[in-house]
Amino acid sequence: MAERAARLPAQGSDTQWSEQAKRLSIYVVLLAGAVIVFIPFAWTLSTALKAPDRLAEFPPRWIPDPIVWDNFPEAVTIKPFGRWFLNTLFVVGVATTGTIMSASLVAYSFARLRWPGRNLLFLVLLATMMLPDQVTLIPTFVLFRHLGWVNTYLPLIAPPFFARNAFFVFLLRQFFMTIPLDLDDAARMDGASYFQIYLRIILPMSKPALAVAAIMFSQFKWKEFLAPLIYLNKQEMFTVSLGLRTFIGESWGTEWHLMMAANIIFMIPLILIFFFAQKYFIQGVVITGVKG
Amino acid sequence: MSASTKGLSRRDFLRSSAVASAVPVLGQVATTVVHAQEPVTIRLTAWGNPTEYEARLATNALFEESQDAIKVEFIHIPDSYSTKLQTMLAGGDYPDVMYIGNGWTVPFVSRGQLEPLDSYIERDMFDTDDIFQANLDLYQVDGVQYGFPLDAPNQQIFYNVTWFEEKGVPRPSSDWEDESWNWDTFLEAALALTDRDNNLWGFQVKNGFRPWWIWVTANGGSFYNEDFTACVLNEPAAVEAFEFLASLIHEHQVAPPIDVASEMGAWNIFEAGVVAMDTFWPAMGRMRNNIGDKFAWDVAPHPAGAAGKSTAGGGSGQAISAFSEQKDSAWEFLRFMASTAGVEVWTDIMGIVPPLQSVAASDVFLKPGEPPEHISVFTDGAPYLRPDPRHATFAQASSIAVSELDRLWIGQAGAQEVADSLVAQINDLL
Repeated sequence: MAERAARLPAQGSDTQWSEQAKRLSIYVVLLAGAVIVFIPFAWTLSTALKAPDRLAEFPPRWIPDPIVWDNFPEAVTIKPFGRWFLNTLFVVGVATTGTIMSASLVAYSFARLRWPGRNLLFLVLLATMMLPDQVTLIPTFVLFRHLGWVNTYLPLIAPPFFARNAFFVFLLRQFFMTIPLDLDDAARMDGASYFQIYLRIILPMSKPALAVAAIMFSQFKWKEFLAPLIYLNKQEMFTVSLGLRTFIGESWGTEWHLMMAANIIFMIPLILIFFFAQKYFIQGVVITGVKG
Repeated sequence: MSASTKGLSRRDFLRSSAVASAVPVLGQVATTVVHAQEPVTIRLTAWGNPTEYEARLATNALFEESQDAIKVEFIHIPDSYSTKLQTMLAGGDYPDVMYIGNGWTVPFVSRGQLEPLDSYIERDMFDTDDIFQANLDLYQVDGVQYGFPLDAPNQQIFYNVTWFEEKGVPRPSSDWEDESWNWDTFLEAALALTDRDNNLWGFQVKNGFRPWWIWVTANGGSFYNEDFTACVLNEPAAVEAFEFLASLIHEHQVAPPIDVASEMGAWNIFEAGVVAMDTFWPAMGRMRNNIGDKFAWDVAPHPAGAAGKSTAGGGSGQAISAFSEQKDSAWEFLRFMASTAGVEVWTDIMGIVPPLQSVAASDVFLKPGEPPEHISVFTDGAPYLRPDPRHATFAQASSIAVSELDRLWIGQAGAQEVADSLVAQINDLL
């Protein structure tokens, strides 16, 4: 008995130790992963702080000497960066609003209403996700040209009002399907119309999913390159992702230090969104990954 | 700062003198275009790094100042130029004037996208004699002129004179006919210049098409056979050139491994003083700015191979869209940019080789007192230019060759094996 009692604590500390070792090894793996993922960002930051004649040093010096903070003001002043930044905010803000409004309405119809051909149309909608943008580039361009929309922001901000991104319809539909139908029935008993149910019941109950969709879409729109490239002709109308390319000189020599400084400034809104909406962001991964 | 201020004032001077000299030329223009009361706006698509963008604004302004009838709307496409231009053309949104690489002439003409210029040249008796013939020819298909060159660059060896002198290595000859500068003497120089322990390399092997095309042609090699029915990069002349270049990296170790060079920024390491010799197109403006007085530098042709000396390049030009609704106005812009007035401003800002022989012989290009000492290497090299092969499949074929050759540069496969493999893939396209 005494022998057994003496052995117990030892067994306990063994378990504790192996638990800790397991945890430690997980941390080591995670930390290694984090470092690897962080390297490109560290390189960006380091380059953003280098003098132009120190860019080609090899082996590369991670902490620049001298540290050139002036690259940041220079990067945003040698180009109309302020203007591009405001253009981008405008495009992202309007397009995100449009996507949330239209995708949620279409998703509501697919998730809650019964009508002939619903499943077939949903399949068609999903099929549009398989089409790369490059395939539809020219027909879409012809359409917008006939509408007189080339060299305006309309090709960037109008399609989102028509549920252009099937993925967000899909995402919201899956979420709406998890809300009990009893709520719709109760509302209908109280005399609510379909649209009132959407507005008063479904939308308020789906805030996390709507937030996820808004974050994911604004992130995509913030970085979008192809559509601004094709539709915007005037430099003062550029978005930042297009404007950043004006630093590229290929064989002429790219101003890497300025480009990287501008990149970091361009990243800040995305990083802020991530920090403030981290909870929803992670939830987004769960919604897209599991609840389908 | 002081250099740029100085450059600006000189540029302003050039601009005003160019306006003055352009007025008589444009007097004729007015007769053909003044029918319209309102000025016509032509649309110009062009790519443009920061320097090129500045040159565009300056030349567009100069053109507008020199007459009242035509304005220029400049559509600046900073990246993915071809994607946007082809979308515009396919979608019916036609620019009037397009900036094109010389290699695009054949594919664009085969799609009927370029306006033939012969009738305009004849009508206005536009004199093309001053344009370097080799560069003018790049915009011709079956004897019909479709565009004018905006520059006449070819790739030469830029070398660090200070480094050569410190190591006691004789400088490469800048005389195109002097064949004592050949592959053997080149290798000797590269060996003497390399100091691997201090990350200092004699040369850099670049994996782009033109940097190796020079060596292939200098050795007598070709890309396609004469009737364009097969790729011949696996024949001995080309394979020997590939072997020689690969040996500079692997056997003699006088060139940095290609991934290390890329890590250091392959386009910047000559200016950074990491390589003593580098293949470069004539970006003199850039070199003068970035090197400053860090070291002395000069230019020389690539060394002679079994077939003598060679250079690659050709540059870019401008053409009128076949679908333009304002072809006469577009033509006026095109001929202005091919005139001494336009070319002088373009050359001054860009620091490149001008397409006009008269400007190439002037101080605008030669810039006495500024490096490189043997700047005439570029203009003297015109007869040695081996342009990119002119065939509709070339863009795709060269990209296959470049990516296959990477296996040779990183030491994964031998020259013959790689050449056979890329030839098989390219032949499938033909």
